[in-house]
Amino acid sequence: MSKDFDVVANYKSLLLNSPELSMPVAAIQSLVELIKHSNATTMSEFMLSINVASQLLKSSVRNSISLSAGCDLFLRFVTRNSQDVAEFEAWKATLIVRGQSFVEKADACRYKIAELGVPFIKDGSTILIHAHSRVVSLLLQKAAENHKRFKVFVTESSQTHGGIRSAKVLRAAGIPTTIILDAAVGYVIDKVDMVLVGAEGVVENGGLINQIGSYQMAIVAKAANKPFYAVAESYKFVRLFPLNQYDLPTYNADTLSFQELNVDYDSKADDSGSVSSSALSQTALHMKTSEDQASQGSNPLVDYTPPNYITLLFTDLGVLTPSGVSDELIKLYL
Amino acid sequence: MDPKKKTVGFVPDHDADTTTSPGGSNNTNTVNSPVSAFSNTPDLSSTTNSTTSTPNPAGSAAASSQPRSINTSGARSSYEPMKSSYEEQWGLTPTSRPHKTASPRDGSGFPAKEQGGLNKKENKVKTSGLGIQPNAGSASTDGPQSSNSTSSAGPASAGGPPSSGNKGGSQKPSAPSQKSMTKAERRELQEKQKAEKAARVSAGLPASGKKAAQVLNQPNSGFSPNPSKSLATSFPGAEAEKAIAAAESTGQARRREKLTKEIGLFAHLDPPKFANTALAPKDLHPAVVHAGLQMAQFKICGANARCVATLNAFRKAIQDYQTPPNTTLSRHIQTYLNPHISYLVTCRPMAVSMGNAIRYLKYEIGKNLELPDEDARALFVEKIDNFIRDRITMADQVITSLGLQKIQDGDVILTYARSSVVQGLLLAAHAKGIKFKVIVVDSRPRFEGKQLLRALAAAGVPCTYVLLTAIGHVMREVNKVILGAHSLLSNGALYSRAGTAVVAMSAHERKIPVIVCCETYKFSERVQLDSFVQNEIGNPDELVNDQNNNFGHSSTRCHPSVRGANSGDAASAAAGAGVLTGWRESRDLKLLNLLYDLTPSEFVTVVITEVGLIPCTSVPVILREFLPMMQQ
Repeated sequence: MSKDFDVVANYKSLLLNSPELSMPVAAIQSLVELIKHSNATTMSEFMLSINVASQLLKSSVRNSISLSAGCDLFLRFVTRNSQDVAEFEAWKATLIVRGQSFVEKADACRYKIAELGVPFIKDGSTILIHAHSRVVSLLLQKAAENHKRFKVFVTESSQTHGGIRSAKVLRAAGIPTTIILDAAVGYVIDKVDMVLVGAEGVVENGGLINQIGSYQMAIVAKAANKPFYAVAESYKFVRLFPLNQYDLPTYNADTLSFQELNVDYDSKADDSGSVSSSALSQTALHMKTSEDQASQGSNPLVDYTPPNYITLLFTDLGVLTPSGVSDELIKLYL
Repeated sequence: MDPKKKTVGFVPDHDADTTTSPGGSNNTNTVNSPVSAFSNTPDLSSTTNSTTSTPNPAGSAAASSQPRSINTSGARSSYEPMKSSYEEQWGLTPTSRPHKTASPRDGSGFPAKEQGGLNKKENKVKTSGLGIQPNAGSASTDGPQSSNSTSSAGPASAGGPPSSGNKGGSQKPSAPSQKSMTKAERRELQEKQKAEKAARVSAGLPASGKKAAQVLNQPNSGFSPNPSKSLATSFPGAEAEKAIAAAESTGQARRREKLTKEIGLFAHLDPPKFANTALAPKDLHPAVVHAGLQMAQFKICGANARCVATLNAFRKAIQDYQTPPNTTLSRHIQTYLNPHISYLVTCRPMAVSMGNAIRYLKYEIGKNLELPDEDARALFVEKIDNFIRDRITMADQVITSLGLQKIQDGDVILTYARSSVVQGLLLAAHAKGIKFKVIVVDSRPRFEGKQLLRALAAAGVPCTYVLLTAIGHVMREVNKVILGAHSLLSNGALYSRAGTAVVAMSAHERKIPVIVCCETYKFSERVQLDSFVQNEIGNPDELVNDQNNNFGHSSTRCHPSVRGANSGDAASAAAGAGVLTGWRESRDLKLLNLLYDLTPSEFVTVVITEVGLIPCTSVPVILREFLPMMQQ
């Protein structure tokens, strides 16, 4: 086994060095690196090392949905080709070449999606987007390049503050952008012509796993009869079938749990009152605490949007209805 | 290949190879190989591909005709795939078809009702004489004879005042058709009929002449009006068999009854069937006869059980089969099996699962026409075993393991009636140590949920048992609904035990996830938009609560005081009988016992199959990508 190669460190440095890289692509890239460094001599040893590495990767980050999509896709690819291996070393070389070409093509995916999505943006329209998504930003930039005139509302998306990042990118591209509070989605929805969100993962039934807040945007959009479009590269398709919010792999017993009300009313710094229970009454007092709580993990980072709220998905395979996703996944994984 | 692989750039060069040949088991492509197309690997996709890529060895003229017959049977509705062949085979076509078409017209209140009725009856006497099998006739000698004579004399003796009845009778031979009558004549006829009707009503008989005749004749006819006797569930017993055989052979009594008791919206469906060996050909294999009888009596019930029973019976039949001279096993076996299949259809309409399994078997037979007899026999037996193992047993295991991921501690799971897969899943979840509660919802008339309840309670799962009527009340504490399926249709609709739709809709209303467990072999290429176009009508007597048939429930019995107030002595004589006991004699009362209903796809959250968790809109994708041999 390649004990000398730290796949997690490689993955993290990849993400750090190129901010445009998305998590699944980075994961695949570091798995390819692993193969390069692998000195496994037998097939089973090799497969084991890849499996262990992908498990390591998945457990290394808190929100592993899109990462696991990439890992699973790569594993599927490796096992699919492991059936008829004539020469082990030659096969390994092919794997490396293929994996690298995949990583290179991942960027092209985004451009293809942007191309497909631009016709949906009408001149003079107002678009609501959520947090920061590279592929959504790219789509909007392309639309602006095509001389579409439109305005964008972007939710601030507290915790990550991705909305502020989005606003910077879009303003740089000359798109009028306004940052709104996450709580103001209902307020602006009547002025909005369409809602556009990215995705961490697209699940088996065409539903969406995305940064927290997407679900409520989808519900508001549905109530207001506005189209809700998701934009996702096909390598984010993941073989999961969540039944509801609490059926996600990221969910655990701590998520939004009601903790003991052992709030120390005198000290401001170090109590452990939960956000949901005590923060309501003591907002001012415990602002700092609630932020701590959020980063500690009692607040979920992603939510699940069921397919019946999604109008269409823009992917590099084309513009799909939610049920079309299942079609593609079955083709890939069966 | 599909666009996904292209764009993602993950297209391996040997991708084409992997799809056309199953990795590691390439030798399954050879037809004669003892390794079956369903190789041992549970990865069914590869086996699928291997069967499709196998070249069809059809070469001779006979070989080309064989597959064609498979195709035609496959094109038919999977519910009665063999019906026409059955009718041709037993000479039923000339007798039953005209009546079937004639019946609605007669029932639709033709002005010259008496006339039509008599003509038809004469007709029937003739045809039933032709159509009845000699053995059936001998089994119940006096049955058909007596009922024929009484019913042809029916209209005459039916009318309360003899004069009106005779008039109607005497006019018939000379009566011109309605169109050629003059206005005056027509009016005269109508007046006459009105008078007859009034007379009958005053005599306490049903208003329609035909029904009156039926009421009067019933004690004499071979068919017993006592529902408990005609009920298939009282079988086996020589007496019951005789009664049923008599009921079958006096097709007249049954048809007459069908006329009056069939419900307009469901007239296109087959009437309920009875366990009957009297009309079955003598050379059927006893295993198949046995399975058929058990299915007819609902001793074997449920799509999986029926499919396994059918396949096992066919397996025995193939093992015991003796090739007749001048033919080979693989060429003749289908001709041999056809009457068996038709027999099963006469016992109970074919389940989708059985239809798919039989279609698969026929496909395998048609593919291996050139094999020597013993090789072919071994191959077909192995194919059947593999089908049961791969598509049912293994599939259920995979479904159980996938389903376990969706059951968590603290869940309250609601299920309806009984499905073998759901039962297995719940028991497995309990065995795994998951703490959950189950609410078993059940309904009349079959109370299948009791079986599930018994199994769960024996295992120590905390259970609640309610009837479907309490669904609204219990649904508020449920957080998952798990259902079984008879079939999943191509539009994603779920075809399952009647009552499932109510449960699914009620759960959907409260946004509770509805999980359906269904093996892919139950997928059907049929599309159905409502429960009316295709369904199965059960024995209406199951709805009747009399002493022999109350399933321990007295819900529809009326209170003694009510009964006493209404009809005094007559009712107290039939003490203990339900209010519906005499429904056949009641003029306007019809009972409908539908066995299935249809749940539209939007009410189903997820389908757990052996190929994974899929939305039910993906049924056609599975059929297209994964089960190409089912469409052969």
